[in-house]
Amino acid sequence: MWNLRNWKTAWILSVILPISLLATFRFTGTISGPVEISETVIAETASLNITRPEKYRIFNELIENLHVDAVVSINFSLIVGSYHENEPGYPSDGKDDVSVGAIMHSNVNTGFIYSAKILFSKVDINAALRIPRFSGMPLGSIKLGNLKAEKIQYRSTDEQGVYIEAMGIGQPRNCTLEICVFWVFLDENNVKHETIATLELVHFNGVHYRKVVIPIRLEVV
Amino acid sequence: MISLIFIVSPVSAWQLERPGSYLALNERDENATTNNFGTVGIGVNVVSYYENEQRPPTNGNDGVKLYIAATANTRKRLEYYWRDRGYYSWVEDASLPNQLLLTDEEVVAVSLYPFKVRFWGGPCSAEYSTIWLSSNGWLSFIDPEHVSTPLPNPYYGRTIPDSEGLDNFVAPLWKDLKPNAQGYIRINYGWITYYPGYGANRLFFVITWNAANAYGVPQIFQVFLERAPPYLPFDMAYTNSRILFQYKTVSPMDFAVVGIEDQGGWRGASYECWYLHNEMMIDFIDSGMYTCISYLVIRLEESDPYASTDIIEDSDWIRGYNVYLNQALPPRDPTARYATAVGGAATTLLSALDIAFGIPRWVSGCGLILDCGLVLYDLYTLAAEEQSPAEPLEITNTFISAQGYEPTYSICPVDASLCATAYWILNDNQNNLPHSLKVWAELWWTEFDYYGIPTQYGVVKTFVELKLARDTNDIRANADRITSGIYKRLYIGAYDQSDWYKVNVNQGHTISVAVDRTVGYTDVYLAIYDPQGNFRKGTAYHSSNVYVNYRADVTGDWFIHVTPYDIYYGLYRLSLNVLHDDGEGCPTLLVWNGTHFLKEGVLNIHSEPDRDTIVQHRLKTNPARQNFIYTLKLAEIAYGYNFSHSYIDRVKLYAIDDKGKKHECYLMYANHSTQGNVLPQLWFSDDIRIETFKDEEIDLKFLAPIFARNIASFIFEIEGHNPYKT
Repeated sequence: MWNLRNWKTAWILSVILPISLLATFRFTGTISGPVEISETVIAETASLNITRPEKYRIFNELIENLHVDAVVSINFSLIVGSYHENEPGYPSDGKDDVSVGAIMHSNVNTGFIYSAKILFSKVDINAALRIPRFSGMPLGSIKLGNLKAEKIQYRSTDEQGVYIEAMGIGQPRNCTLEICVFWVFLDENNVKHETIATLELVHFNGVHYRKVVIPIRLEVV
Repeated sequence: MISLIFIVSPVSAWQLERPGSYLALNERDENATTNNFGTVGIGVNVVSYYENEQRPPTNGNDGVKLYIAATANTRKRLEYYWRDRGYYSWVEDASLPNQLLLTDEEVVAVSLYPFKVRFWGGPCSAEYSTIWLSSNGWLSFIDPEHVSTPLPNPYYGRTIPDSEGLDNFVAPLWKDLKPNAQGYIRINYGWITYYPGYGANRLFFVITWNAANAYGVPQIFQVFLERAPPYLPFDMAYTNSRILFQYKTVSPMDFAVVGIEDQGGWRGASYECWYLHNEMMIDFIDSGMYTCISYLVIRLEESDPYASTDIIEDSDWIRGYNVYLNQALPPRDPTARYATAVGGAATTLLSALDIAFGIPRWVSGCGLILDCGLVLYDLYTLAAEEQSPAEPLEITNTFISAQGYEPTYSICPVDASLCATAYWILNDNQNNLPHSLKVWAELWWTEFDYYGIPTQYGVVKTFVELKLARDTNDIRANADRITSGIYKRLYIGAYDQSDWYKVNVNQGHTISVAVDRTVGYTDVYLAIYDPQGNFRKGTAYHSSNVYVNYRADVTGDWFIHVTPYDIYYGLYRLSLNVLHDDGEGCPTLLVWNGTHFLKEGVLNIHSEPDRDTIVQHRLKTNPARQNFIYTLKLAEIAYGYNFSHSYIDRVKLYAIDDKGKKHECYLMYANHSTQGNVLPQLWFSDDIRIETFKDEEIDLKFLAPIFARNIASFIFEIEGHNPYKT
């Protein structure tokens, strides 16, 4: 027969046990919740046009898109590296390709950087995007500073491009993210290609979370 | 007891002069080695060279992209053995839907479609869909026209196995069979379901021979070839097809070869023909003794502080078969995290309750049991993770190792391959250092006994060596010294606008030099300078293919100068001949002495254009008689004043016995290195001639005179001409 003390015990258990479990799961990382973005800032799109060469060529052309405000400064740049005609083997398999480097440096003077994402959108069906993977570098061709990679889409599909999502390590005030993307052209040198590289940086300004979106349009004609 | 056996193959090297610009090379080098346990091969395709390439993994350095393929097999350890099973169940011709009527000494190809037979191989390897049936009581899984003894001759004087002659055969009664009373050798064949006494029906391709021996006695027998065992049932997954011989009417007192032999003539199983009798079956089955492929490894080895390597980790670009290509192990059981969390929370909660209320003993007891259970579960999970095998596919920047499929009942795949893409990264920005890289393929094998216990293991290794040579011969003072020969993969263009070579030449000798484009857009001028550096002769034009001849009027170091046209660049091949005598340029005769081809000398057939001359040459070395065959070779290797180019109309070989009598040895085989079979053209003296250019050769086989005895010497006769003699 249960007495009052037992009922009290059961009642306390039913309240404290779930709370303790939730707290423990959260503490061990089993459960994590998204942050609430209170403000989104979208920068103007920068553009770069490249004329498609007929044979191997080194471009090394740089385009920058900067965003600076009272709290955060971000430098998001693309470097169009070299063009290879009928490049044999990885990752182009005999097609033409161009290598594009994406580099992001960011600083905040208040709060911290929560996350960063670089996305190359797939906007034409005659091209594919690839983040190459090499054994000599821990994450292939990706370099991270004060960030931890959370999710990487190495290959584009029919619907989406390639991207990397990274989270700040220890609430950093500055961070770096670099990736190289191979842009493979599947056509016979007669189609215009376009992709948009977008940086999405989320930072905490001491009051709330803000997202800054910086796009760069890249065209090969 | 387990023993370790370690084998390394001989060296092979591929060299490239360091280019000064991007080049798509697509050149290949390969090597292989074997021992009694396994065979391993390495093939490296040098895809392209990058100069100051910004993209990863070179990141601004120079680099070489490599495709690497390692192949391995342990087929040599497979064994068939035979059993006289005391079982006999003849398949009547009415059950076999197809019929062939062969004449004496005939071979025909028969398709096994839609199934295959696995013979001394593994899944997807050594599986055959065509067989060649001989009227002489054997079948082969390869076209016997393409082996060195193409005629369906008896296997007299041989034993099984024998690496000479025909390999890869199944011989239920190999003898000189004759047509039966109806005037032909009748063969019936087809796929049937048959009960061979194994406890279940199996699918067999059955062939029945109906022939006669030399005395007209009927010889009627069958062969059963089992369909390549499917993956299921699992104990049969990798085994070889069973082969059955069945005899209805046979004459055992007549010599015949009975048995089977593998692809290289290394292994076989034979049955003594004297024990054959009517209404019997012999069963050839896989012995189940397998040497398994434990690992197949590609290793990049360089000890160069100014170079490194990198292997692409992308799973789409790592290929292979019969090895595990899954890099990641299954993730750790996620419930372990919950177990830890629940355990911690329960302990905390019970402590709190105890302090606040003094909890009943049964509650704390249950909590303790729950905690112990969770802790034990967590420890078990950690221990299981610790004991899990090494990753089946391991990749670093210097090696890639893939585990072979694990054996089932000691039976496993006997073939495997592994392919990867790698970069050789060169960090010396001045392009002035030589580099070398060894690319290894390693086959790690393990042999099991009948109980599946490993008995011995070992490694067979082979490698190719890639070398990048410095390109420093840009000025005459730094000219590279060369001698007569062919120099490959030399670079010109971009940052390299001049290549100098020097060669020591005596007065009166002729320098003959040619440059040919091999890779890229090579287009060059070529010139010869005397020892004082004075220009003597050069091409007035630029081309991808240029040559210059010049007779030296002084003795000393003469110089060869190659310069590119405009912005053209690429690789070239330089061929240099310093000729001591303008009269060369005719075929050289070589004789096979049983182990090597020995050079007899140049056959001087210089003559006016279209006027043949006949030259007889008494051989200094008597050719070896092998299977009644003498083997000789004509090779266009004596380079002439211009390019060697001979016209050969007819060749003959005479054997001279000790009494001086000449016996003609009939030409049975003539294979031109580029034109293939030229036998009919070399039989007769007519206007049909075979041309041989530089580096081409003709393999010749002559039938030894059967009745001649005490052969003392030989005379080789050639009819033809070389019109370039002046």
